[in-house]
Amino acid sequence: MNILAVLSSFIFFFLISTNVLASGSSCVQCHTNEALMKSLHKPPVITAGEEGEG
Amino acid sequence: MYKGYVVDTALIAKDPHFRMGCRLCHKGDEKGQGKEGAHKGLVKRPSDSLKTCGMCHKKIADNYSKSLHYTTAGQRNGVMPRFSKEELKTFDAKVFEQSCRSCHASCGDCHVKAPAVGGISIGLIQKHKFVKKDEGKTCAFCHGGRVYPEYTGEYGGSPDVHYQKGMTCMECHKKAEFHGDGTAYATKQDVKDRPSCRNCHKLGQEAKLTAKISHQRHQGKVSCYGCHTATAYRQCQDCHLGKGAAAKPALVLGLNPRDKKTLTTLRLIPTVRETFVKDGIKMENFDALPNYWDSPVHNIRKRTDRTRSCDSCHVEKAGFLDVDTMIKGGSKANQGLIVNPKPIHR
Repeated sequence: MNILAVLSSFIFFFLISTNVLASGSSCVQCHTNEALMKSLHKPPVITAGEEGEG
Repeated sequence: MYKGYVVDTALIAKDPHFRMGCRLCHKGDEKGQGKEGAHKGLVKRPSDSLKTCGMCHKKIADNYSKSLHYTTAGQRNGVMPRFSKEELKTFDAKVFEQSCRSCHASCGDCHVKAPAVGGISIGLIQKHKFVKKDEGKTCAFCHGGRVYPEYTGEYGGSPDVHYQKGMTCMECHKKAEFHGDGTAYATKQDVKDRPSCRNCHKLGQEAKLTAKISHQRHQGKVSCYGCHTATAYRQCQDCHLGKGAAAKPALVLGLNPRDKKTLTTLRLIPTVRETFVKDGIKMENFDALPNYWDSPVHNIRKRTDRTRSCDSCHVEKAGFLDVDTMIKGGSKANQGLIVNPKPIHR
């Protein structure tokens, strides 16, 4: 049990220290690709009467 | 703007915020196919829940949960005296939670992604960098109708002298004002350590004798803004009448409704008699509060018409609220703000 806990902690801190979780994701693959973002982007629809007046 | 969705690759390697992966905050499905699949269950604004940032920044998140930028309690408490008990219940259910509260700022609005105003946002402030501050892309968006363009001069008047000297919002408005100090204040007037001109400009340390005398004579009678607001500033003349917003410029001087003794700059506030009629609220006590509120204007100059000549106020009475210039059909309490400056005996 103790060995498992130690091993889990080791893996957790390894992942944190190397940013493995973020850098390997599909989120990162798309959101760091400017050309892809440009091709997917849809401009928002502007609704009248919602000017910022704060 | 698509650039507002692009994340900086270099950040991912060095910023600890990314170490646990995107899903920790944004959920979604990293293995999903295409945009729709990957975005299934996506949380666009993770910091709308303070628990997200609170996982690591607990003290700040706890304090922020009571901060006025988060609770927006100032809006509710500002208008509350106009309502009967029953109307207040309706307001809380139909208006405050649905409308006013939707304007609260999340942690991300200031530190990650510029807030959306009217559905428009420039997106990520610096490619998902967790920035300490970037007033031009954060404060300026929510406060971009009046305060920020007055400050920068984009509104058409003179820029504020502090802006010209290179000062940005947080030179005066300190971090604790935004994050909160753990106290749930009812209004911004109650907040401790608010910005004050006198934090830097001490009385008696004026370079010129005329300034020293003028400050002594008007101390406790006129606010700093009263003399040092440079030009007309925005008034919510036709705002919130169901036709969109249409602000007009004007300088309005009158008694501060909070103390009824200090002359200061007043701003027409957006609540008119009909504002909540569509929600079934007539505002039974509408006349309990005026339509004008003391306003810390952000177009300060050392020299203005009022500092150059005593006649501006004491003879011409330029900008002074009176019956003729007052909003038509407004609150009866407006009358109590009229000041008639005494003539000077030379």
